[in-house]
Amino acid sequence: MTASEAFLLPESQGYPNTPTYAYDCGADTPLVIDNGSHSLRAGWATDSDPRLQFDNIIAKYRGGGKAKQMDAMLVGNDVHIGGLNSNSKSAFEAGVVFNAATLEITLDYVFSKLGIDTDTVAHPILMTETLCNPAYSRRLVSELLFEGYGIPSVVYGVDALFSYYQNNGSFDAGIVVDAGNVATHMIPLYDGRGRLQYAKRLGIGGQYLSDYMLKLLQFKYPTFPHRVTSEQTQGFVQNHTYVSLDYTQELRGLRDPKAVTAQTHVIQFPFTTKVADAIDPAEAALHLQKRKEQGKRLQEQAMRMREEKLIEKEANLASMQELAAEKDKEAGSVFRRHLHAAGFETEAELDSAIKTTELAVKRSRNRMEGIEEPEEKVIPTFPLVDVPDSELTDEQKKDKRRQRLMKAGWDARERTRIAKEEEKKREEALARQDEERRNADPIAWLDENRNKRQILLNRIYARIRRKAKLTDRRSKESQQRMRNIASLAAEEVPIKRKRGGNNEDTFGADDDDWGIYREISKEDDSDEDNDATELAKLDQVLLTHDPEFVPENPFDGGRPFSNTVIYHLAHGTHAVDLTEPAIQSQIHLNVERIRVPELLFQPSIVGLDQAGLVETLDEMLKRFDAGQQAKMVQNIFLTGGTSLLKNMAERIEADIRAVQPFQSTIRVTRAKDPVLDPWRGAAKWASASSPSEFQASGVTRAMYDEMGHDYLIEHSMSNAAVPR
Amino acid sequence: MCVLPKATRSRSGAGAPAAKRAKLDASALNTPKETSASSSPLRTIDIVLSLDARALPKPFKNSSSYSTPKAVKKLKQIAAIEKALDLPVDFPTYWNIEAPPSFKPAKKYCDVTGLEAPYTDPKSGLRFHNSDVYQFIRTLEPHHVQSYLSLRDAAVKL
Repeated sequence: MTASEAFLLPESQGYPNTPTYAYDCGADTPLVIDNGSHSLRAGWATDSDPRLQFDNIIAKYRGGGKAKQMDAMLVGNDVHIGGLNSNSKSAFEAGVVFNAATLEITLDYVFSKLGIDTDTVAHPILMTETLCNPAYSRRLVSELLFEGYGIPSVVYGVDALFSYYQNNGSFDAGIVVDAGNVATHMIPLYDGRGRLQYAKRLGIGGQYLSDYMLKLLQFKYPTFPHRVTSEQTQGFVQNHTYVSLDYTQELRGLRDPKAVTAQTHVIQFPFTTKVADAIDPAEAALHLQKRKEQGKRLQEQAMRMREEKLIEKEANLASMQELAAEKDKEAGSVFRRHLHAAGFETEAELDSAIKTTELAVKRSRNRMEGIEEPEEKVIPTFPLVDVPDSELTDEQKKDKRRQRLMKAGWDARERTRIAKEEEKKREEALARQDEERRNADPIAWLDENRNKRQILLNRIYARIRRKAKLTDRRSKESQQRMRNIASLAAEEVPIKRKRGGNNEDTFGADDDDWGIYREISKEDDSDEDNDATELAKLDQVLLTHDPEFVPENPFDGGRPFSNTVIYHLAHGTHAVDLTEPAIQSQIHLNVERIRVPELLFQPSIVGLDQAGLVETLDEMLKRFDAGQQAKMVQNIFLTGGTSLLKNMAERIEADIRAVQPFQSTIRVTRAKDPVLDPWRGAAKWASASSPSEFQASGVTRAMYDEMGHDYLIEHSMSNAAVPR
Repeated sequence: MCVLPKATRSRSGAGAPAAKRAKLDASALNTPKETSASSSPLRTIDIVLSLDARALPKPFKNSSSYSTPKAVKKLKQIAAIEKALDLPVDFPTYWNIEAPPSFKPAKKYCDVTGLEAPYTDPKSGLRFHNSDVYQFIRTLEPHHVQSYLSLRDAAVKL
């Protein structure tokens, strides 16, 4: 059997520092800024690659202090380097610029890093914006550029179209699919320009995919010992997922444990195994010896103390015995005086004290000399109990009362002891009988036990079923229960149909009447525990004697957890020790590898009420006639970071083929560099020989003042301008 | 990488509220992978201060007569502004280019495993693949059921 592929969790590569460049471009060189919601790329149109490229976020650091000298504002990759990720802010909401202040800080940073040292930014600017950017958002950016930096002119364009321009010469017919960070855009191209009125946006992008991956893993491993970051899940999406060419078929294949093993990628997070501290043997020996010596010393000390106590006790005993001997020699009064002086009230007290001390002395002497004394059972006597009161003194009467109590206690203990012994004997006899029956006719005996077990099981199942049904208010059981409660609560006892019967309330006359309370109780009683232990006993018996017996426990799923599909997907198809740190720090990616990218094609998986990528494409194509459609499907162009998912082009091609006429020619291509091509295309377009479309489309300061702050001149790469 | 919402792991697995750390994430800084300049003996605070964008020279800036609007409009408010423009019906706006709902019936997948789900538990509303998964679903507390449902936006919304 082949094992699953295993991967170590890759180290975070860290983020490159953003260098500061010298201001070395010619006058009026267009400045190209690809202002994406994920990352920003900026550079001069004459460059082949953007000079600056960083994550489009900022983060404020509050160091405290009144002077705010310890505060700092970090932009782009510096946010990651400074470790302020959790505090970061973006100028975008769902791809649209909404926070001009954040953008201002970012653009300050951009111009500064480009080394611009004049008193305005004296370059025409080409900036990308999202598809169908709201006019208000454009106004925010224009105001910032013209008022804040004094730029001469600005041109806005759509990044996906620039990427297409970079990779294709003609705009004749085609479809641009831009799978970005927050959304996936589809733009049809026809007759040399984008048909934006038919363009569509699907609300799923790369960020959604990695968030979904994170959520799935949290559900799959609720007790995972590490904090999984979104950066890590983004890595999982990039490196371990792929677009399934036939999702349903592939999912069905995963019913087979072997297929699960083959599909699984195991990600091993770092872990530490607990290693017992290595101990120096010499030191250990020393330690042991020390402890032994200490023990010995303690023992000796205890022995000495015991001896002292014994001597003391013996002296005590001797004096008491002397006192007792006095009784015969001295006169009664003298003896009594001595008795009182020694702290005894009566003679009997002295006698009992002597007795106990004698016993104690004997015991400790025995212990010291190591003699095992036999435990002898003393049956207590209660001589006064049977003597009538009239023959007793007051003293004795008190004693008698005490003895009677003691006797009652002792008798009760004896009775339970005897009962227990009898029970034990009876059980032994039963077991013997059982054994005999088994020896006499093993098959009948087994059948009998199986029957017993079945009856027990039926009872347990019935109880489980009843419990389940009682949770449903419309079930027969629940309704019967309500009827019972209602009739119990009714003040008048329903008149029995019995002729001549009296209507007196006889509830309780029959003991079974009380069973009704048991019936209406939702909680089950202790029978459950009894049945469980009984079942365990029978299971044990059958396990020993019945070769065909397979235990089945109604209280859990029946099958071992390691044999369930949940376990196979989360921990592999072999039972492993889940307490091991290495196992605990593993993530198994299998279903997720295809489930996550599938969101682009079936947004219904996450409950998003939008058609999938291909269905939307199909709907879009239907707006064009058959001839146009045939041309367009020959030129489907993928761009955007999420288009880097494996099999993306193949899946789109296969699915489009399924909805297009038989034998259509379908071609799906991907941008050479889906991430950088928008910027490169924009730079190429901006630096095309004059008089270029770029120069013709620039909104100048005068136009901005005259036509409105959100003024836009339409061109082949732009959004639609609001009609005026 | 940039604006991903932060989620913390929780025992329940439910979408735990993001741990808000307004202060410097010191724990992240102590791990060398987070700091590209890990070899430098600088303290984390020094790193942060050395990267301060406010200290960069900004001669090009006209900060005397212009400042960005203080009140920030969220996308919803921007939508209202766009609506007030009274654009032609066929004019493509950010809101009308949204992909339409699907005409196809949504396929059903197991809420726990992601495999095909031929069954639905009428009590919890969770879809499941087989009896193993059903046994698991039976053990779930109501709030766990809800968080599973929220994965496909089907949880009870209050």
